[in-house]
Amino acid sequence: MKPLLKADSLFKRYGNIVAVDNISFEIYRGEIFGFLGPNGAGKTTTIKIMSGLMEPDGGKVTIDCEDDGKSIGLCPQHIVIWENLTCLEQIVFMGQMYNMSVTEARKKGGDLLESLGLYVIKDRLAKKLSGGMQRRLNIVLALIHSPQILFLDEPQSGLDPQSRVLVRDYIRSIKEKTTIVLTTHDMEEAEKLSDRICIIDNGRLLVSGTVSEVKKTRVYEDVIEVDINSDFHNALITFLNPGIVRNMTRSSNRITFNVKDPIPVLANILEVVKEQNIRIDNLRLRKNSLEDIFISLTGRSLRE
Amino acid sequence: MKVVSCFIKTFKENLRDWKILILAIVFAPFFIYLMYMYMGDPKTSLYNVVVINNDAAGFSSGELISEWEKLKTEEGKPLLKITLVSDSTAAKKMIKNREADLFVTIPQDFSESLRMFINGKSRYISPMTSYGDQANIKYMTAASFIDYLTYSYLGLKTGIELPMNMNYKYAGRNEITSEFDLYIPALLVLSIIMMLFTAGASIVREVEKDTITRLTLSKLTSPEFMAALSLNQIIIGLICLLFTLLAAFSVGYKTSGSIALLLLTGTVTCFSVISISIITACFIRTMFGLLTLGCFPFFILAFFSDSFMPLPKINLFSLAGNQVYLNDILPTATATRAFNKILNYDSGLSEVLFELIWITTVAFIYFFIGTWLFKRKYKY
Repeated sequence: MKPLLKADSLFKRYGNIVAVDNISFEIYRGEIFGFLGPNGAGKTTTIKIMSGLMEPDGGKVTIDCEDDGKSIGLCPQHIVIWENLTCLEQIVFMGQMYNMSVTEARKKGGDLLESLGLYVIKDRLAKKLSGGMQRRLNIVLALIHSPQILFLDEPQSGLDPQSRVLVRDYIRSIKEKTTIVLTTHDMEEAEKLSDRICIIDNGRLLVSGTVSEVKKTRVYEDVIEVDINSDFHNALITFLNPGIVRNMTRSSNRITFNVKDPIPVLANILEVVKEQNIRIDNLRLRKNSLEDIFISLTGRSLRE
Repeated sequence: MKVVSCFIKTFKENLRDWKILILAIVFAPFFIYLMYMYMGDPKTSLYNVVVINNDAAGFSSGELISEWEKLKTEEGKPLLKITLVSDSTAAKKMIKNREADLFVTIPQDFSESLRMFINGKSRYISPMTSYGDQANIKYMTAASFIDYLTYSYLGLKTGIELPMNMNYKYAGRNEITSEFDLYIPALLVLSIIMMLFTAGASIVREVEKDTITRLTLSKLTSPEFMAALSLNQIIIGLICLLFTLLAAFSVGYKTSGSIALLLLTGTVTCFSVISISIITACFIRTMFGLLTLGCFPFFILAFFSDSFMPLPKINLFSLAGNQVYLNDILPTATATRAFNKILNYDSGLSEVLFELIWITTVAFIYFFIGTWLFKRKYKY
């Protein structure tokens, strides 16, 4: 299948800092592509390069669609609206900028406002909207011209839970017609929405594929978390066989590690705590999350 | 089509961002009223003369002072306000404080020396002393009036006729033009210079809020955006110009110059100031920056437009018989000259054509520089 967007060896430097370091990937029609990474990973710079707002220092982006100025939609990370225009006024204005007629822009704008729960306040000045409403308007403005590829840069930050669900459902509903590139540092959100993801950090692409493919990049899929007083961490670790435990991390009172076969390890832990008379606050067995993958790849938390 | 849509959108934004708009509209009219309050009725233009009359006999000096007081404007209002004082130090202090324009001292033997001169017993009349501040432009005028009236009085009394009488003719309107009248063209230009803030705000708002990114993606070109902005600001500029002119009319300013020609000149001047505001906006990213750093180009434009004070003319070159001065590099200086010609000298299109062409040319140069800088800075 021919990709809709192909990024080939993208490179961008700001002074001495390399923001995007030789990144290559492909995005296909009709998919939601999650672009994940912590703050400062290079996501927004890559988005700017892909949307044509920034020239890369190296590499190129190829988009397989008509270059009529209407193929790309961008919803920036921060709220970008005209505060002194009403919701409908600015949507119609943006429509006109994409050569739509006023009638056409009003119709499409009304539908979009309806979909994102903003129709009732369509005649309100944007500066008088709540933060969550402004964020939704931010998304509407990127969609007015029905772009073939839509870049959503952290679209859900600052949204209340109801709005997050509304936006998530809407993003899912348009993916048949619009290919979506979604950047976020919220792994849970990305996991719920994305068909495929890539994780970048320090400008480098660390891994890419479907969520399950990415999760399988770890040898062991199961994770055990033990919440225990830090005074007893060493006592417990001594009894864990390094041959069967991987990726061990310690925080204030939690030990986390991957295991291939969790049942014997759990039995072993229970045996140890009984022998040593150690009190366990919590013992949990779960599958790898995207955040676990990222931590194992970068050695630090995503939400720094 | 995009230009029209962008024009309407920017116009709405300007109306709703009313604080800057109101500031732009009322700024120059405020100065009109301020100048009026400071200078008084422009048609009377009183010159304050303080006199110490030491004349012992007092007869001739009394007659002379009476002659001074008789000087009237065409409308019959007194032109010289004579105040008799006795303290020389206090009179000099009044000159320094600009409470008086001229201080005249009549000598103790003035009447007596005049009588002796008439009778042929003396070859001289005791001289009067005049004292004034050369930096006060009203001093020279007041001194000139007093000289003329005094020599006329003495000629009449002594029967000596001056070998020549000067005929005085005035440029422009056949009325007494006051200092206040001369400030009106500069204040009209000042009203247009305020566009620097409204036009700058229209650009800086897009940059500060990053809505410029949306416009960039939509393929609205820089020239289209700038054209919409310019059209919008020209309308606001002309509104400011008309409000300022109405303010001047409301305090008695009269002109028989062509208002249509004034508006035409105003239009190209607005365009020139907008072009400079585009350049300014390329170096400023926030509204705060515009209202602080933007004051620098504002004062440069105002200073070199002769709005604050007349500046010495430094010749650059001559073009088609017209002299181009250094401050003509800024179009507001040329605009002040053109407004002055139209309003105070009733000049027609042919007489201000050079100024119009010059302002338009300079405006386009600044416009292209501004648009180029904007494209370069914002990749737009």
